[in-house]
Amino acid sequence: MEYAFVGSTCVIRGVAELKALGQRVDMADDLAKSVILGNAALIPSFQFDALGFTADELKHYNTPERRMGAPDPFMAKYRKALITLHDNREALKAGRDLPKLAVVKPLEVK
Amino acid sequence: MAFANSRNERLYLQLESAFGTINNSSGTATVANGDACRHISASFQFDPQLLDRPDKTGSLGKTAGLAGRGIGQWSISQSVAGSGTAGTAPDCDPILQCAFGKAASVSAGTSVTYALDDNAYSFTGWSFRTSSNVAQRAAAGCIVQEMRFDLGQGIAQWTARGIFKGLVDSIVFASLTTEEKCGLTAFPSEPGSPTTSGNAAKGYIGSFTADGNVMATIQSASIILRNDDDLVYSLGYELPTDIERGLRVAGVEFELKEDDSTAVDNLVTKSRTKAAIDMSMVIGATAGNIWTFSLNDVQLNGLTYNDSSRRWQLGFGGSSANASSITAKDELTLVIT
Repeated sequence: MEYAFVGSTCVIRGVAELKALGQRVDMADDLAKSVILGNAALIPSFQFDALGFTADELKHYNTPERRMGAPDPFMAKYRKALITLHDNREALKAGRDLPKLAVVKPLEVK
Repeated sequence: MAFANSRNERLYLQLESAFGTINNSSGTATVANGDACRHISASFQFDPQLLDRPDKTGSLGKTAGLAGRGIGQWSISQSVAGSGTAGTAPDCDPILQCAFGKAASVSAGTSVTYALDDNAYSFTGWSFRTSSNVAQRAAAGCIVQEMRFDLGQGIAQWTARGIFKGLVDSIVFASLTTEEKCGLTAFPSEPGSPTTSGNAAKGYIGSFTADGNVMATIQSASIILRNDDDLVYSLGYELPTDIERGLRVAGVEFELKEDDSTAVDNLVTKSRTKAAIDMSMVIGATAGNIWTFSLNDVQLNGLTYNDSSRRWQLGFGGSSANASSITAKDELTLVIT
């Protein structure tokens, strides 16, 4: 599954070096669970996309230093990203899985 | 033959579910990628006592003794590095939990708070090195006897030390007793993708507040948390079986440039009267990596006048914080935002 980064920096040795908000990484579910429980700031990319960051926001506020003093609308989205991360981690701690993108099959018309 | 380079070491920390038992699933260690954390140095020394038989032999020579009980000593130092994500604990979280005696309280997207409590927690420290053929080690049942955070230098650092129950080692694993294996049935390979988060904080970026006054001429400061804890044995065991908790002392040491301000005069006066004051120290300025230490009712101690540099400096050494009541545990609080 694909994940998006919402932290400052994170090194997943042999897999990725994450430095920018929204940076994508594809990894197996087991590895994702392990590193999210181990404090990596990753959320499934479909959850990240749903937050509605604009390309401009991801360009201008992609590091913690650049986020200092960022406008409120951006910070509100970023705060939602962190709450999503927190909720996902709590779910993993409770033995549940990370949310998956629901695939809705169209009804067959007979 | 391959040598082991000192830098080719990865440290993993796991809070233990039960004292001295390495977290496992049916004997298989559960150490995982996310347990890794960057470190400056990690030392795990374990040398069981040598028990000499005291009986006379009829001659003056010494005969071989027996391996006895042992307690290991550990120390770890790291850069002060939050996760870089507000509301996510730092990689060194297991050591902080053990030092404070309580799990962190997390406010989603905002902060992680470590407050003091009387719980007895332990962690396992794993040292994996390259090549994998040299001894890989796991120190089980580590307790924190002292943790110290330093403000003032280039990269802020913390050091912690303590004692531990037993050292499980990949080289001698097969010859260890069940007790010495600390719950494992095999020594694990290192996880394939150790994962670490966050940047180091600059030690000179932050602030120091004493009795409501910001002390901008601070040169160095250290927050110290000492736990007079020990490990105890039970009859029939070679290794310690439990943690005994003792007196907890949180304190501060600091040095500042002397001037004639009322804020400095106030500290000199309070060091004489021993009137308690509140203090706080902040390290870092970037979200997810701002460490705020709050000390309650500090009684200043050990005032020294130092003329070894161009300007006079005042030193306050070993000043302890105090709980606000006999039931409170508010001597020291750490909030990472």
